[in-house]
Amino acid sequence: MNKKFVAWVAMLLLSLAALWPYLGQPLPVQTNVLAMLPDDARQPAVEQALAQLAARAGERLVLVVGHPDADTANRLAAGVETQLRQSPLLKSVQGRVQDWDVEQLILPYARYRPVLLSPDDRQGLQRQPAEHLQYLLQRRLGLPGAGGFGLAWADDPFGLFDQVVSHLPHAMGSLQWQQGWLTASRAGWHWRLLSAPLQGDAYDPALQQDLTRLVDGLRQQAEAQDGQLLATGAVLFAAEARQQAETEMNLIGTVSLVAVVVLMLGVFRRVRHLLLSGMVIAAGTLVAVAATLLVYGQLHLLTLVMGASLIGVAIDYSTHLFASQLQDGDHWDVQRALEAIHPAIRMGLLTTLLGYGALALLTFPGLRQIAFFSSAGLIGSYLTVLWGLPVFVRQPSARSARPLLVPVGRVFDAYSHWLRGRRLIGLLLLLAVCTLPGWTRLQTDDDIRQLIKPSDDLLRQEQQIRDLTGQGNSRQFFLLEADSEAALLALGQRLNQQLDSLVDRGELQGYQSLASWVPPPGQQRHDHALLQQAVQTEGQALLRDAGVRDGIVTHYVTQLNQPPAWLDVDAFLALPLSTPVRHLWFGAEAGVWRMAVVPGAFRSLSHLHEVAQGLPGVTLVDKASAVSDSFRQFRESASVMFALSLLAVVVLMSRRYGWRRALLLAAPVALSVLFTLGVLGWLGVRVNLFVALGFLMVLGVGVDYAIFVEEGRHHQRYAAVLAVGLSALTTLLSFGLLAMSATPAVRGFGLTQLIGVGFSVLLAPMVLAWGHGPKEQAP
Amino acid sequence: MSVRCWNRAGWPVLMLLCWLGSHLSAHAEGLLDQVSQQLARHSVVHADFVQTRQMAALKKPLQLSGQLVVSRAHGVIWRIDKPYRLTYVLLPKGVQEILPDGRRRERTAQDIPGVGSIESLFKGLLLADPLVLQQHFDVVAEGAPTAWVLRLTPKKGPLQRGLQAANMSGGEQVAQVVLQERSGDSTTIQFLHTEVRDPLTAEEARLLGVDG
Repeated sequence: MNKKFVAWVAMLLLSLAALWPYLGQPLPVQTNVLAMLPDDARQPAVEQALAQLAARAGERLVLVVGHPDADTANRLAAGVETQLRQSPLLKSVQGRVQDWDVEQLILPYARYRPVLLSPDDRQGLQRQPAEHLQYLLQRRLGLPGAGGFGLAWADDPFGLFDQVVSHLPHAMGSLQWQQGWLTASRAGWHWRLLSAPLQGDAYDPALQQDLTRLVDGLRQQAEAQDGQLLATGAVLFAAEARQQAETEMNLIGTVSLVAVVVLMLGVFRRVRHLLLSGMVIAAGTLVAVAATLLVYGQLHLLTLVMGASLIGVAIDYSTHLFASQLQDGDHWDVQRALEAIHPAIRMGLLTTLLGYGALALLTFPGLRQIAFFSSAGLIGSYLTVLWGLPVFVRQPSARSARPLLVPVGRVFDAYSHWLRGRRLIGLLLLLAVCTLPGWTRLQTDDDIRQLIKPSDDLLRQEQQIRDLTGQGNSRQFFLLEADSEAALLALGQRLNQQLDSLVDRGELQGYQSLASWVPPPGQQRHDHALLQQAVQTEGQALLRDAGVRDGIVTHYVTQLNQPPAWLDVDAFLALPLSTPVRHLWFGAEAGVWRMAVVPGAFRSLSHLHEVAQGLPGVTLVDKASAVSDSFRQFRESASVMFALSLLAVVVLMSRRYGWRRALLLAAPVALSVLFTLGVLGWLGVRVNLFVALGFLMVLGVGVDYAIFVEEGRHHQRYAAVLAVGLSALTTLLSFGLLAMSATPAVRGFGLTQLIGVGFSVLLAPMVLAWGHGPKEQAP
Repeated sequence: MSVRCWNRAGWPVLMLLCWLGSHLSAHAEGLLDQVSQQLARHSVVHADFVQTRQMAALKKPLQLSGQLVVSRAHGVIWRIDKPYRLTYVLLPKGVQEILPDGRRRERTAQDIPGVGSIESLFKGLLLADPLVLQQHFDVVAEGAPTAWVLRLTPKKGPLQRGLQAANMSGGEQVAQVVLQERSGDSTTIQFLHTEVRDPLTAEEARLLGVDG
């Protein structure tokens, strides 16, 4: 035994050693939900594109400051900008723009004006060059103002470049420039827009905390002056999710702990047992965290939340030992007791592992980690009970605790006696009638929002900002693929035309596409030739007639007759103007050219789908629905997994109990699942992947009760009963608490457990209805 | 973008300044209030205009003439008659351009970024809000309500890019506006036969999109 104890201590020390590098820092918790989601294995290009886009979007904080009075709004915004600039958390701040900035941006693009034409001008020059040019010239001469963007009037007398720029996509939507600020006005309020990229990772816990505090401080300042501050950015969502999970974890952990304390003290009457139970849980958790960090390098948020409910299960093994101690009274011998209950708890561990193990088979990184974490924790607890505890429980149990055993046992006897024959059938039928109709009300909901549910406040701010600024999200975008740069740009142009018609119908608020800025080479050649022709034949004469100086006319015509600078993507990307759309270009890889087009705010996703379907080479990427699809697939796999696990459990049990008995032992759990589904239907809980996971857990945990009862037939019946009772209570408490989570997925998981385990306990004694009668044993 | 908006918005600004100039003197608060109250009685103003544009690129100055209609409640119509037909209709929701063949071309706020500031200028002016004028310009007023000169220098903003200064002068109504552009070009507009004429004619109402 000494060897085992030493081995156990060694295990703990190893775990501590594995954790050593992480001590003193906050726990490396991964709050990026995307990281735990399955990859879109079919399209790695999509994954890469998504990662790039998400990185750019996620790393930016967007603030909108508003006030009914424009001057105060300016003042508030300027104040916010100053403070943002001073913060080390942000890389740079885009706030008030110096007027010259805009000009400097457009001027380099003007160099390419000989090859650029707006759609209106193209049409006009093709159909009626003379009339169209005359109209342009009249307008140009009639309106005061020189050429735009630093161009002299003489460089563009017809104002064609102006037209080109006015047709460029305006991702700004309803934004305007006012006194250097990007502004939106709504309902009498003046809003100023600021944005700042983060200096660091949006999923860095320290950054999240500090940034949230900064934003809250800024908001308070704005509100103190009767203004408002809206903020959005992936970092805020992640921070909130993290905090919510931590709060929940603390709550669940605390309540579970308190409940366990109360139960342990109440039943076993010795602080020692409480401490030992704590030790079992702590050791299990320690091993779980160490192993997970060793293998994965980080813990995912969901692992923590689900893992917190590990407490209830880990305690089962030590409880069994203590219950046994209670029953043996003064004839207590640790080793003998361990040998006797070992088969039961080993079987219990194996069946639970089979339940969790099924998760590892799914190609879902987050679930795999949960499986790994939980398995490591359970094994750690199991070994603690087997190797670590015996040293501490050599003495017999407290006398004061023993009287509890007999009443409990008697109640159990009475119940199990009642639960046989016709009454059993009757009860089962009653339960069936009450619950099975609930099946008709069952609905599935695989939406990712079941898992990621931001608070209403954050969503409201995001929505408001989107309404004011017209800027859309980057969760959905078009991925374009072609076999050359020219073909890709041509495809982009076709997509733009489709999107333009959506914009005209009011279905879409705008879009960002490189093809708007860089026409395909064929188009450029066509436009240049058209322009040359029109000016040569008609334009010259018009200019002279209007009284333009000869020198200027000659200069313009000569300019046009020079070989022009052709615009290609590389040249465009080198311009500062391309900064907002640079991330959309993915270039060539293995002969395939790719780029993204990001839609602005839209009313209905189905229109975008239609557009994508109508154009070969264009795919609408929608991570959220792709993930929801994955969820659905995994749910269906999990259901199959459940059947397989059940089978595996039966096979495992049959090795010890024989086929018939094994089937009987599996019956309570199987029935419980059926009844639970019915109840979930009545409650309106939507079935999704996480409910399916819950059922896997119910299988692993619920079958333990039948096993304990079965084992109790041969040895220490009352102890077994007490162990089952306590196990059930602690499990119900820890999983049941999950049913109060704010995340629907976790809530569904918890409810499934609560009801499933409840039924399993209720029906477990039915295994006694068949087979040899229980051997009488003196309590 | 500001210069482009200046291009498109040039005439609207002009008209608004004219309309405003004919009713406001921005230097003394008291004078301003007086005039704006005086204005409140008139809801529709008509005028003929002659515009002379002096550009370095042109051999000789370009002259345009046409008619202006200002409706306080509905908008502004700026119609060029000679040497070619081109009409601009300024509405709160945006600017419409009417070509010689009758085709209308919308220039809504989305189309011309920066027009937003012109729009609020327009609305503010339409509401006879002296503060709006002062929001966009540094104003120096000279003279008396019967004969005044307003010297406007644009503040930092989209207007400043193209416009160096604007001078308005008049008495009961505005007589002349001179715009100095940064490039050295200048535009002079003279207003003749200014009348106050309530209500709108059917044609004007149609253009301004007013229900009969």
